[in-house]
Amino acid sequence: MKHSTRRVVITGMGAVTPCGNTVAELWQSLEAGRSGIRTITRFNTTGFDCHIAGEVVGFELDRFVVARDQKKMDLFTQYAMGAAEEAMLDAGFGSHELSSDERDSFGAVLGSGIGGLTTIWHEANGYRGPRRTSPFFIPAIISNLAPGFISLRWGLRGPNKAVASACASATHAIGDAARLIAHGYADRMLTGGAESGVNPLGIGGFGAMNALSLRNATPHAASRPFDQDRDGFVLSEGAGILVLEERELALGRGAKIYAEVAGYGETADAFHITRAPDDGAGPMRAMALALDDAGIVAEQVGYINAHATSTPTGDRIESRAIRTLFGKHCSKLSVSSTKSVTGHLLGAAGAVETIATAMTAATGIAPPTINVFNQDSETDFDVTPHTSKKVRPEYLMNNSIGFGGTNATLVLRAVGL
Amino acid sequence: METQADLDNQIYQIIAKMLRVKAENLRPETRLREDLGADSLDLTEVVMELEVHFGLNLNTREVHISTVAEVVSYMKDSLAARDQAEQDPGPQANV
Repeated sequence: MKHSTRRVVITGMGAVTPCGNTVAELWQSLEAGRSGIRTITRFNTTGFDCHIAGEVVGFELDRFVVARDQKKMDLFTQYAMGAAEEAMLDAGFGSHELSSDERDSFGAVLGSGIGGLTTIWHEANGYRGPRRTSPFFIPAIISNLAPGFISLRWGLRGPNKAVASACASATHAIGDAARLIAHGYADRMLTGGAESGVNPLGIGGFGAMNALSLRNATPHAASRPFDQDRDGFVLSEGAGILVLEERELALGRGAKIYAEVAGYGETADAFHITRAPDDGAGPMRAMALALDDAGIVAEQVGYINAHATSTPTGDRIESRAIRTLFGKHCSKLSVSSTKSVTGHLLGAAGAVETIATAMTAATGIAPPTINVFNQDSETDFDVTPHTSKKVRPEYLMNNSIGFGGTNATLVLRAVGL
Repeated sequence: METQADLDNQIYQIIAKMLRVKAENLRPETRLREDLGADSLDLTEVVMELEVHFGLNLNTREVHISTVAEVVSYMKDSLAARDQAEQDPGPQANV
């Protein structure tokens, strides 16, 4: 990263998603293009226009959180705890006893777009009177209790906070965490994002914005980024957590390295609360800043995990931004939207997609964009339709765009090439 | 009419439910903080649940309980005070 000689690498990853509750299961689903979208079972959707979502299934909370603490956490924090456990074990910190100094410089920065929406829904519905609100209501809903509980679980005493930038939250969190390490304010960070909006308020709220796909009869085909017949995104839930580590420390302890976090860019549109300007200037500038931060030019990027949520305007605007920035190099790019498989995990999306991008860096496999039956004419680059393919990029990009006109891009560098 | 054992049992069940422990493992001398790991928020929640269950309005800021026996005795005192208040209409009733 620019302005720093310290380099940052990814040494552990964990995921709880509609496509599986481990990174291995998630990656298998992504590689195979196996959709995690189903008819909603969490609540009765009678009267709602949208009846589909990406729900987490089979999450074994008891493995990660003692019974007494479970009621103190909203679902998004519970998912974060599960993903953090996997990421820490994956990084080798399950058996490695962290010293007191190591804990002081090990932080947690997580993104969540909304926080404890499910708890808000239940508490408001079961409101028992002015002196009867649960003392755990506030701790359960506030976004920073996900990193808070993670710090308690592992004794991490470094920087600890939440990032809230809607659907860009996790990408911002990862970028901010990487910079904390690059600039010497921490040596290791648990980062990523968590979200759980599959409840009447989430489906009703996004539904009211006409943001959701209404392909209720064909859930697997509902999320179709870059397809000209896309009709909205599919709301999903879960968490993605990564362990970031200063490179020399990681090498020193012989850690497995998935990829390097080489660059980060962030911008705002200053245009509209929920939509980007038609020319995609905001996302384009975020990508350009991330390239500059990584010290590379556009032609060095071989793969992009796009934000592409499957909304009619959003995908088109991001496509324009990519086309404007990469120009003729578009013909050599591989792009995919893994949201076609996972749905949109909102504040956790950027983390799940950074995990996917790191897996592409490590395995040389680009997961497909599924459901692209009629590619949008404005998306004139390879979106890896239907099936995965072999790629060998040195530099990879992950884009996130959030309500509020906020944009974040990460550049990863493949290692061992 | 409720027996003493019924009352104790109801209180034990609520403590057990809110602190996620088994009621049969609770003893009068069991300490809520040290033995069961409860913190001040847990205790507030226990008292709130007891209030709802018994239809009482207690001041949760002034509750000082550390053992199961103290919870039982606090609830008995609170219930007795309520019964007393219901029997005694108080000075306003004479005005």
